Amino acid sequence: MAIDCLVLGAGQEVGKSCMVVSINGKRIMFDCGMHMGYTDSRRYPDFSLISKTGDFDNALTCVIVTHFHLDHIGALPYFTEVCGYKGPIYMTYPTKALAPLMLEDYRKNMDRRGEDEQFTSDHIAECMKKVIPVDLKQTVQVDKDLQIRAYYAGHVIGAAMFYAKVGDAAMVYTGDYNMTPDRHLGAAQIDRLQLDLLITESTYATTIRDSRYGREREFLKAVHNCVAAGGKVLIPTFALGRAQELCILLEDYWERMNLKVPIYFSAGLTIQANMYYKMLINWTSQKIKETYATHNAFDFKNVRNFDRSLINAPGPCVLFATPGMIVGGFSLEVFMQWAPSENNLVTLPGYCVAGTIGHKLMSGKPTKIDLDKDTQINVRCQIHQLSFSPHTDAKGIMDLVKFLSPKHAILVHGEKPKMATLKERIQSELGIQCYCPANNETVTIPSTHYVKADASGTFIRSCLNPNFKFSTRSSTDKSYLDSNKSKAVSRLSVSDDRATEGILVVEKGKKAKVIHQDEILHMLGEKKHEIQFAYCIPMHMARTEDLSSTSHMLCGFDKSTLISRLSMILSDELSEDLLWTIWQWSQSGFGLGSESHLNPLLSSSTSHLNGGFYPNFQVLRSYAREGRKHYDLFGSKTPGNEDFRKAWQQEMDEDETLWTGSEDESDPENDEIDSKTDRNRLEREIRKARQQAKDHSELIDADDSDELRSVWSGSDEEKTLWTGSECDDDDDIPTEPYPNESSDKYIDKLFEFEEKPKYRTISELLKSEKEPEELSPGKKARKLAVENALKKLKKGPDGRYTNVWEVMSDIDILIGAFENIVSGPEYEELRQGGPKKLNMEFFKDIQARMRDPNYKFSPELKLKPKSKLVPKKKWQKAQSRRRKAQKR
Amino acid sequence: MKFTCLSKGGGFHFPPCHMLSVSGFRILLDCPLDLSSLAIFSPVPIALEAHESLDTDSVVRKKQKIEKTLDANDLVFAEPWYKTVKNLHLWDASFIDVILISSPMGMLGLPFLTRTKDFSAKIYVTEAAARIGQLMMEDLVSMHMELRQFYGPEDSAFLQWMRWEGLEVLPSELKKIALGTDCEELGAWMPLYSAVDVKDCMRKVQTLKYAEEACYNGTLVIKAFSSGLEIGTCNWTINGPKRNIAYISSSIFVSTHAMDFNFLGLQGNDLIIFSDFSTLHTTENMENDNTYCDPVTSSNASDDLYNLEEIAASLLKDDESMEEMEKLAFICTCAFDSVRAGGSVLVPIDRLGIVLCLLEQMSLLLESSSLKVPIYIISSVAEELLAFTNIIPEWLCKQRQEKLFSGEPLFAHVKLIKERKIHVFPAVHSVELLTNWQEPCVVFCPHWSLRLGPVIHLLRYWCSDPNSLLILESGDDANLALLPFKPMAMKVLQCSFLSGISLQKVQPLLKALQPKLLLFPKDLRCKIQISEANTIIHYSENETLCMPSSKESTEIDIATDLASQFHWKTLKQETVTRLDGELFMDQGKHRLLSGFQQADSKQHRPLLHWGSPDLKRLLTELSKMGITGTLKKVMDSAESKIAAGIIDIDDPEKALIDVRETGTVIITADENLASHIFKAIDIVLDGI
Repeated sequence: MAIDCLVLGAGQEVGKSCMVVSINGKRIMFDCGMHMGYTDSRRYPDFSLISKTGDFDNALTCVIVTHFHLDHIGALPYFTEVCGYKGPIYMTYPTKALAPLMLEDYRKNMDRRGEDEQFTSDHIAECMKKVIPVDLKQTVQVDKDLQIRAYYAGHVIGAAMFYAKVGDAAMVYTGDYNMTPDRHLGAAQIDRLQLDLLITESTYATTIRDSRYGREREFLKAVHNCVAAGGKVLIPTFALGRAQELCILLEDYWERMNLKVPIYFSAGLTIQANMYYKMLINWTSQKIKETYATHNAFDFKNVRNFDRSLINAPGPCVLFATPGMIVGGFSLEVFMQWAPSENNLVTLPGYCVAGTIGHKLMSGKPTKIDLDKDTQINVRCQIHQLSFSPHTDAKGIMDLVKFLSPKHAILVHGEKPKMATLKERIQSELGIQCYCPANNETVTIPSTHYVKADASGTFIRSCLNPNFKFSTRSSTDKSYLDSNKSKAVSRLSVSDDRATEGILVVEKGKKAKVIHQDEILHMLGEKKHEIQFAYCIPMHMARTEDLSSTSHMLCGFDKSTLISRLSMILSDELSEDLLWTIWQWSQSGFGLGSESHLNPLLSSSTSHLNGGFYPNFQVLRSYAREGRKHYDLFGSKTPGNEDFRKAWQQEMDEDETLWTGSEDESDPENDEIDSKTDRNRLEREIRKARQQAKDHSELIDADDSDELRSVWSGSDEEKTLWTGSECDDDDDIPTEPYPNESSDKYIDKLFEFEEKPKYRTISELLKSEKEPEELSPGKKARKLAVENALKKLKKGPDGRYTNVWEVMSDIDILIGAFENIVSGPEYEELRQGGPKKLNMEFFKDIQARMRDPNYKFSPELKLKPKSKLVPKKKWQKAQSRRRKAQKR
Repeated sequence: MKFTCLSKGGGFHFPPCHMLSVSGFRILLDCPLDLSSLAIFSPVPIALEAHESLDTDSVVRKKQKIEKTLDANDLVFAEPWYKTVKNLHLWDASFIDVILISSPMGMLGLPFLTRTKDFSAKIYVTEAAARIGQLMMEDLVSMHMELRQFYGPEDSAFLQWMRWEGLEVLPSELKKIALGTDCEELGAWMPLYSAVDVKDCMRKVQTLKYAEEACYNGTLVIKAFSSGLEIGTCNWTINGPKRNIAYISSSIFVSTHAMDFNFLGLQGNDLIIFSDFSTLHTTENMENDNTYCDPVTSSNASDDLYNLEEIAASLLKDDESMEEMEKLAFICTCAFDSVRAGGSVLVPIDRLGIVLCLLEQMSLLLESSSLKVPIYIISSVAEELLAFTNIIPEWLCKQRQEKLFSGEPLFAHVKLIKERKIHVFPAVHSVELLTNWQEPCVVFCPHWSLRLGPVIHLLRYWCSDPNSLLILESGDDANLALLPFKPMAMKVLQCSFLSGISLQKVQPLLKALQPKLLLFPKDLRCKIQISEANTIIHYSENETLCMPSSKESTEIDIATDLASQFHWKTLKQETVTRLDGELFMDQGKHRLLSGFQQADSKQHRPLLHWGSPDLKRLLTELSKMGITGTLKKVMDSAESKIAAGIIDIDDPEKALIDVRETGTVIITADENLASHIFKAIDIVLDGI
């Protein structure tokens, strides 16, 4: 299976975003934009590449449009009405609502410029009727197999990243997105998804942006300075998005500064756009969303409609005029009038396409602009460039790619050299295969596919329980050996082999089945054959003839006699000669956990809990107690790592206490029988328990296992949304510093947006300095009471207040002072009921009052915690300072 | 899977409540409050004059007149308590894993649960329902606080009326409400939660967008689809690894305000829980007279409908919504007549959608006439509620969404408030109201069983005015509700609104959904015969049903790249391989993906062997590896048919291989040798 991506636009360029992706037989077109820089056929994507015959309905499953910018939606009416696509089109509610405005605006401008009309108003209306609106995160089942979902993208209102899934293959197309919130929109956010492909924009593939607050401040300063000097401010902008953002900014500033300079919107269009914004407030940032009930943020108080007659009216004003980039229309008309005066200001928000007047203004400081052969404009006005852009920067792109960790990534919507740099970064830093195809190229990537198999209940149940295996890493791990830190890194690794206990069985003509390893024997009708390891240790023995006798016996006698003979020899003589001793051997035979020392692979074939295990240990232990120095567990070999030895030692000790076999070690035959029966009994017990558990499980719940939850791989938190920071990061490093930027303190103060300044004007401020701050009568009284009370407090020789009880009779003081004074360690004794008992009930009552949420606790009453003893002088000094401060 | 119906509820304002056990998770469906039981309390201002404390005299007096008709004095004069779902308190709230809320009304009882200790459930509510529900709860708390000021703080820990002596003297009608028919519901009464509890509850709520997939614990995929009943109400689908469940609450196919019932989203689920009791409540009254049991057979209608589109089209015929609009028009004309006669109109209706539509129609009607009659909306949360309704186009019906696309406000009230035709006040005693007040007028206010809030003051004010009109939703016992305001000279218009799926549409709906299993209320059994579902299980209140599993085995998805790395082994008929990688549970699916730590040193060696080794072959395999040994001893074949014996290895080092029927033991001191021997045995044996 593969995913084919045909790039129809925005490949290694910005403009006419259009991408056709085929996944598992479904073909989705993402975006259907136009290029603003061309007026010929290059303006639209080459739709003929989708279908030679023009039968787009069968060639495409659906069209998805991410947001209402023309380079993402501009070609849609042409595609549906002229090319004749009739299938479903998906976009978010705000996009559906605002796209017609955008298209209509564009169409009018085209008209005005006398270009041939590509589509009509009716075309736009007809096209929008085909659009199915979707909500964020709404999972839309386009058809039986195709599922799409929108995620918040920031950028402009209603912008969305789209997730599409067909069968097992899944992908995300980001459209344009923004990772930092602006005045009215939040940051992009998306779930952690399993993706084969991520197609992301890369407008700022190499730029790291600084905090936008600095830029906003610059903008406001420029505007304020201009209107203060009686100048006119022209903000050529597109009707939607930036206009609203700047307007919120200005509105806020106007409010704070108590400015009365009118703000105008050029056409009815933008005012109407505000209507939409008001209804779509749920799609803006959290902060603005919360205010809807009291005051809708898009209910601009200072904004008025602009009339053509006002162009040359005296006095300062701020005007938002369409279109942006001063490509023509009203903004050009106003620009021509206002540009010659140096009092005026033109603010250019964002990016301007080459060839436009906006672009000319931004590149250098022209004094004259030739509009056409006959017209020339004198440009004497100030030019301010607003450089905040609703696109994410390189850091944001990297963050998104890293977060989603798709198997492949495709970059679009960017400039070729920058994209190549970013591509390299993604490949080297994240190890993700990355492409940046040019227009009309096709990229093919493999897609995930799952093989379906039925799983048996036993396997699923066994997977519910953790099955940790601890194994030591080999010491030849060079990465650790190099540094001294190697000791700090634990070489013990933990693995969980739940899945490896499963066995996949494929039979001809049947569905593949996963069963547990215990079940396969039953299925095959075979018996298990266990391979086990026994470890031998070298030992010294006195009589060498025993050696010969042992070896003789090995072939002569049966095993039980052998063991009894052997243990007899061992208990008689142990220390003298080296002898092969079979350690730990019994009917069922097993290793002594030594396998993890021997080789990790052996570990699973042995079982520690086996009946016959113990007698031999007992024998060993008894040797050990005799303290013969030649006894060596590991023989002449290098001993295993310390951990193992310790663990082994511990295990031995524990096992001893668990002793269940016969105490009589001199009778190995008995042992043998015992261990055999023991084992059988154990097996019987286990079987019984299993049966019981199975029966019960059926009783409890007919089909569902109660512990399915434990299989789940992560906590819910892990699945939480990924989102850009809600506020600008402090560690944002500006790429272009502003060396000459001097901060105006007065304006800076006004920028503390969270808190309103107390005084609107300087005169107010001056007036307030003459007289002390006005307190409410209640507060005043309380303050007075506390002040008086604090004066009354006296300290004894030991540094404690001596007269707290008298002073504390006033409830108002208590509220302020009680907690700090009484909870200190000095009064521990009193709290316990010392000589002068405190009335705890009284204090509890006060505490209750203090906890009252409606009670306004004034900070000036807060005393310092008296946990440390304060020298009297210091206290007095502090008091006098306080008094002084209050007088001031 | 287990299903227990805790309560079948009581109409629109008291939705049913169920407990569901899926995949080991306990899911509570809705947590409403029985507001109709508030009627046993007395609204303070009225009882105040006549009230005497509950001393022995009055007890005796009350006992004597117990069989007389009820009057206002019989009502409980105490700070009201609230009745929750009667069987819910029998469950331990801390064992609930998930709570699904289908409507704003279904969350009024939620703070009672969330404030319990160890409450840990995840609560899923649609965005719109959560907001409206929160506002309703806030309103309830503030109305209750207002009432509480009359009573002052509680004096005794246990309420007078809840003692046996208190309950004894209650008239039988009230006693039935207080105790339930089986005298077991006293435990359901609770003192109201506080504003802090509401806030705390809302913090624990997880809001969902329309049709957003929520994945609980990786196992259950939960989705909300609009039900059309009210703004933000929804039906749920719960997809687990073994079963897909759809829960249908009261739903309306074509709504005049909320988003339509999306029944197509519920398709493809094998189990459907049908929980629309609305028809039960609406026809109950007339059923009492004649116990008719005439099942609706829509067979002739459904026979000619075969394909889904036709069924869908027939379901979405908007005849019902037309009827609703006519109802609203009738109400408006009644109100208009009354206003013209100089009386005022009181509309205590809690249905947000109905209120919004009434506002639009009534103002239109008033505008068309020359009458200048103000419309007042009095509620502590009205302002916010009205503002909220205008910013949620995603939750409204098609026509309203069209308004968004054409740039008009979603509801007309935005414009009307601006034009000062509608006035919104937080309370009766607000200064703006007093300065603006003008009669006749039309007043909208919350219902709260006519026991809380502005409605009691206005009702008391107008109840003796024969020109005035009270518009009341029928359903609750209106007689009891109006008891404190009697004698009433005021006209009362009782109306019922569509609040669920009509009986004729149940059959086609089920035909469209094609469930394998249907859980259907027993109470509705006699009213409708269903032939569609393969199996119908009837449920009744307080009875736990166990459903057998539909799928026997669980499905596992194995990533192809992982599967291609498997080491396959061919046995007799089967090809087998040991699995590798890690098993994940995601979106209710078991997935086997390649593990994060690639097994670098891990060799693929069989872990399980079967059969028995051929000793001779073993020797040759060993000698191939350069290990020589001798077969020392072979068990005599009489004892066992399978070869067993001991192989003694002396080169390169000493070792013993003890081969027996069920196992082999390799005895050596040398690791290398041991692993070589193991390899040799592995070749000889079958294993995996």
